[in-house]
Amino acid sequence: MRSVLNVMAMDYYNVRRRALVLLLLSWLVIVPVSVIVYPAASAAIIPFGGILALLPPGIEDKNKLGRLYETLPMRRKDLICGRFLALWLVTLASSIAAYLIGMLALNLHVFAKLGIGSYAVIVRAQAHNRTVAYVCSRLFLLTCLIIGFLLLLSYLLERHRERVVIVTLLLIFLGIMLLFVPNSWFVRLIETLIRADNVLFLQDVVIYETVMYLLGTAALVLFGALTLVFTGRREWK
Amino acid sequence: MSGMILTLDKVCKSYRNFALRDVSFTLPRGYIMGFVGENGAGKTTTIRCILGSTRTESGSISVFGKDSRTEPVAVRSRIGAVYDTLMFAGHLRLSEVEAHLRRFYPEWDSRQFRTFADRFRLPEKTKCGKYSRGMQMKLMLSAALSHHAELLILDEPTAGLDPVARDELLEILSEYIAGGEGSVLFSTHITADVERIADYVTVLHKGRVWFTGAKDDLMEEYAVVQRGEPFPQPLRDACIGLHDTPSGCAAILPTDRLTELPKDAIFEPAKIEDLLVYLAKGGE
Repeated sequence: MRSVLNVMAMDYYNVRRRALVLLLLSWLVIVPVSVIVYPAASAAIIPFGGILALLPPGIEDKNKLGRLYETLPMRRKDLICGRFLALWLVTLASSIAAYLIGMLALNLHVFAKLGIGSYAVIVRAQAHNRTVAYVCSRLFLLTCLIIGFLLLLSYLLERHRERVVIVTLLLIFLGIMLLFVPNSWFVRLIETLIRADNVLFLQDVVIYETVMYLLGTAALVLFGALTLVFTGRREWK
Repeated sequence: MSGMILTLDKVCKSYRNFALRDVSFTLPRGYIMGFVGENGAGKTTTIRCILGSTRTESGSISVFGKDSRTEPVAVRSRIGAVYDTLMFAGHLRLSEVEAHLRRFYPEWDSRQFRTFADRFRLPEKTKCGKYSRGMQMKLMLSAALSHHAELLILDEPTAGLDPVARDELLEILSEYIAGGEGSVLFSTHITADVERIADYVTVLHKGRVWFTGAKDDLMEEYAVVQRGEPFPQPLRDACIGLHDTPSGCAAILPTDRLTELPKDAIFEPAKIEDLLVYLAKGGE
């Protein structure tokens, strides 16, 4: 565990300047939108938080840090575990921050103060439905799924990381194409997921949010385990 | 073998176009070993095997009496490594490099790191990617020496350095082994550095160990021989890298065969560079 934490600290020193710029830019846009226009918009900071976890592999490629890693007293699996744990932590922290900003925005009543009556109605509706928490939990799951998959892909294609973008775009294109095939397994799967999502949400909002966070965490554990299985014994690049 | 800090025994490793075959050598505690060979001879692959970052197919590697393949963390925490190019992210500053590394090494000595940084006049505020080649090498060396490493592994550290910086590096290595506890495995193309500082030499040629032992033995065992006429047939078979020159032919010959040389042949003790050149010209 100590080595995993060391990896996280090392990555922190490697990315902190870029991460700060990315976070500042995203927060500078998202927080005012959340406070003034739509409180649940604060959840948009969650994917930006997740993207931070993709910075270390990029810096590793650019600086050829594999040579450093092979001399440090750590194992390759420590690096992989550290990166997935960091992804989970930044996504969770962003999710908590998004929730707090959203709730603060709800309670500031900026819309009412600005005399925007229709927004005041939205705010009341959101307060009633726990919309902020709902959107945050859903984006936590989506971020874990998408960024976790991209992190897995970046290790699978470690020697050709530039291909990650191409493969991702191809998968998105394939997904969109499959949506247009009537009664395909993919369409049925999406419909089932949407139905399950609605049923769960209508039953109990708190359970729904808990399930979203657990599913997101489970997705990262799965992607991390797959990365370890497929690339854990590879030699450093 | 208790005095040996590093022992490789018949290590084999294959790639598609290259193979290390039965690489064996030992490095005693408190000495410097020059690790030389032509480009692609397998020096870096051997170093990676020692660090446990490359899986070997057969043979054994013992570092401090431990197997680096099964205990890489324990072994690497006692090794300092310096490569020919900067190992750290170029945007890091001196203090960040230290913060980066110190967590990994239980024996990390911040005061030692600062002492080296001051001695080498490493700029605090400059990003290490902007350092000169010599400065980058000194930074890596400072890092390698700041966790009380018992074995220093240097892979082409003097490549691209000016003579002053090379001289400084060799001086530091001499200081490092003066205590008698540390050892150095020093891979380089610049054989003059090996001749100046190494106690032992391992010559790698086409993935095999061609020679390993005391440096003086190597230089005593071989001689460069030249003759205006071709060498007689029995001697030709013993020649290494026999080739034609404008004034006749030249080769490397084991010194125990020098008595068989025709009287018109001339010879001189072989330098390590001669050995590498003649090996590259056709020695096996």
